[in-house]
Parts: sequence; C-alpha cells; structure tokens
Amino acid sequence: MKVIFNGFTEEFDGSNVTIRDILNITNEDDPGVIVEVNGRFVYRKDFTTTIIMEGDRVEFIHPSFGG
Amino acid sequence: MPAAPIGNRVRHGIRLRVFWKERMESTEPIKEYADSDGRYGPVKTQYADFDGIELESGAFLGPLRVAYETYGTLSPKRDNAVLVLHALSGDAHVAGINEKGRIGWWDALIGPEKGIDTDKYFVICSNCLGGCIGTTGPPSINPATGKPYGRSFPLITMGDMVNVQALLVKHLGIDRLHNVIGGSMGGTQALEWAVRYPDMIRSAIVIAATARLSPQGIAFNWVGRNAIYSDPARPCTESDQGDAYQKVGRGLAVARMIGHITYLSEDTMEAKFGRKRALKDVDGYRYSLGENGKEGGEFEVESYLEHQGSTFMERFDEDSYVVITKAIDRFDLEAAHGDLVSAFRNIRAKMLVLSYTSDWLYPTSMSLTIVRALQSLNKHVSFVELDLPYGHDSFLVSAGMPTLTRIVRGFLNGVV
Repeated sequence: MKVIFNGFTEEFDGSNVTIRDILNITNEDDPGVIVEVNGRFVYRKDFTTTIIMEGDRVEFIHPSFGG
Repeated sequence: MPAAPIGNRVRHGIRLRVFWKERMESTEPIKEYADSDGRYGPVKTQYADFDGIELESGAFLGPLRVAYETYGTLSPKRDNAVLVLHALSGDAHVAGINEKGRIGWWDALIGPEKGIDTDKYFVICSNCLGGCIGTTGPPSINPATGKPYGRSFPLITMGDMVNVQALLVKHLGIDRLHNVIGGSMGGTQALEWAVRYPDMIRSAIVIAATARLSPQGIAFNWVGRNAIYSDPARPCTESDQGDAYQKVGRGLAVARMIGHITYLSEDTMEAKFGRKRALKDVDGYRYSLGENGKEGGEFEVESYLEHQGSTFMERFDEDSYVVITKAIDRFDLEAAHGDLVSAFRNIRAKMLVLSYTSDWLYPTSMSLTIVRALQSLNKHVSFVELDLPYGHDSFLVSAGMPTLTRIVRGFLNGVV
C-alpha cells in the first residue's frame, strides 16, 4: 500500500494498517507527536482505530509556525 | 528553600524567586499538562470588520478585517483576557481543532488546565495585519483597483500590527488585558504593546524576541525576500499586477527553507538528521541528480527542508512574507525612542522575558538588553534563560512545553 508519508511516497505492507502501526514501524512515537491524515488532526485515542488507506497523506508534525 | 527548576539557568532572579516561592507554598497540586492534544475541542475563526486604520506611515488602509479566535469565557468584570501574538508564519488558530481539522499552533500551552488555562482565562489570538490567513493583507482586495493588493500593499510596522490588535481588543469590550504573550515576532509585539499601551495590559511575556533585529537577521530576511523577488511568476510593480496571481515559481519555498535553517540549532540538525540519506542508490550513494536533472533531496535534512518549503507554499502568501519580514526588519525600539530606557519609561506591566540558550537568531544577549533597560528603570521584570537545544523555535517544540507551561502558569498567577 502506497502512502504519502511526510511528503514522500512510502510503501507499507498489509491491510488494516493503523496510525499506531506506522508510528511503530517508523520509530516516530514520541509523546509529543502530532498526527494529521489528509490534513486533519487525529486524536491520540484514535491512533489504534484509524486505518490508513491507499494514497492517504500522513504527516507526523509539530505545527511549528515559527520565525 | 525553593530551588530553581533543574536544567534552567536563572539570572536576575530576584522577582523570579518570589513567584517560585508562591508556587512552592501552594497546597494545590500542579498538573504538568503540556500536550498538543486538541483538548480544547472545536473552534471557529471569527472576523471583525473596521472602516480602516491610519498607518504609522500616514497612509490610510481600509476597509480592515481582522481574523481571530477566542477560547474560554470572558469574566463578568472583563479582566481575565490574554492576548496571544503569533510569529512570522503563524495565524489566529492557536488552540483546539478548527473547521479544517487542523490543530492550533500552541495547543500544548493553551487549553483546559494547560499553561494558559482556558478554564480561567479568556484567550484571544488574531492573525496579524499584513498576514494572509484572514486579516487584511496583500491577498485582500484593494478597493481602489478591485484586485488583490499584492506587492502594492503598504509597508506596515510592528506598531501598526499592534494598533490593529488593540482595535480588536476594544471591539471585544476589553479595557485592560491580563496579559499579552508571544514568541519571536509575537514577542516583539508583546514588547511594543507594553510600550505603546501601558494602561491596557497588566503583564507581558516576551519570548525569544528582541528590541531590534540584528543585521544578521535582516540579512537572512533579505535573502529570503530575494528568493521571492526572483520568482518570475510574480509581478514586481503595481502597474503590471495584472492577473498573475498564481503560484508557479518556488521563491516562497526557498525563503521558508532559509528561514527554517535559522530557527533550528546546529545540535538539533545533527540529532534530527545527521548525515542520513533519504534517497539512496544500491550502495548508499547516488550517482545521478535524479529525474529531470533535479535533486530529490538526497540527505534527510534536504528532504525535510524541501517538505517544509512545499507545505509552506500551500498555506502562505509570498507578498505577506515580504510585508511581514519588512516590518520585522524595521522594528527598532531604540531608534524609535532615542534609546531603550526612554522607550520603556512608561511601561506599567509586569514583564517576563524568556530566552533560549540555543537560539542564535534572537540570542539571550538581546533579551538581556531588554531586561537591563527595564531594571535600570526599576520596572517589574523577571528573566529566564531556558537551557534547551532546539534553537529559536524552542518555544514551539513539544519537548520544551512542560517547562514553558510551569513558568507561564506561575507568572500569570502572580499578576494581579
């Protein structure tokens, strides 16, 4: 399954891949991580139930609107 | 004896020790709550419309629209309002989840039981004048031409931005704010607020800011604007404004990349990216530049900046970037008032100045210049230098939030 992860296309194996799975695979799981799927914030409690679909835009971000 | 928080350097700590003491003696348990979790819930951006405003340049700008969000409830005495001031690329959406599903940029600090507790304070955040996320700025329609202002938008000052914020505060029926708080450009506005409206604020928190930008800072902004000016897709003068309002070139993305480098520290870059490669050929190296002879960003730091630049183009306007960075460059309280002591003479607010050890864009020395001028006038000022490795953006980074939360909460509690 191809997913646009932090701006780059990445391949994730299997179906029913959740945000929790992607956090584990990518080693990105720190307590402060903010997750957006297709531009929408995902609550932490929904990480295990939110299933990623082919072509989804997944971003692990900090909205650091700095400067 | 109450100790200073571990890991933070505390200087000029006389006032500071007072509020730590108050906190230590309180029987109420202190919640360490500092997550970007959208806990405030759904929020909606609101708009206030005004006839216009006379700019410091003497020009009139109108009509004027201000985009803002509020959180919490204004007390019957209207005395619990906190105005949050955003940085260069921020917007009015500071906490909660907006209609687009986006989380606020300082959600970790603002919300129920957070550093700025929305159960206690009425929090306001507005998009700055000259911005592009709801408040009048270059993308707005110029009533004289029926077309967007674009680069013909008048050059504004930090004072103009603050004057517009003051208009909004009065429009909301508030005579005096409990606090104004901001980081980076927002910090300079908090300082400008204290100088310009001494009777309208009880306190100000100035984070990672300066009373005047360094020539180095001006230089980086100039390079960023030059990237935008070099963009062939955009008209340069009002007369050829035409209908060229489309984004073709990547000037703004390049400007953002340059800016972003200045917001991070060398240590952060080393820890976050090192020399890791994002794109590799079989043996770990690349042997060609990639498709169409264009690099795809071989090193992780490159692909990170590339991504930052690209996403920035989706949400920001290049002419706003020009107008706002010009205002940042020209902000200089010393030049405006003769010297800093004269500038600060009428300040009545309790001041808290915060800096970060790894911030080389707005370094601690600049914050200390502010603190010393305030001290020489015997103003109420606290100063904390936080030992965090994340550079100028430390005030936005989640790892720095628990400390910032403790300090901001303690300071706000001490303001009466």
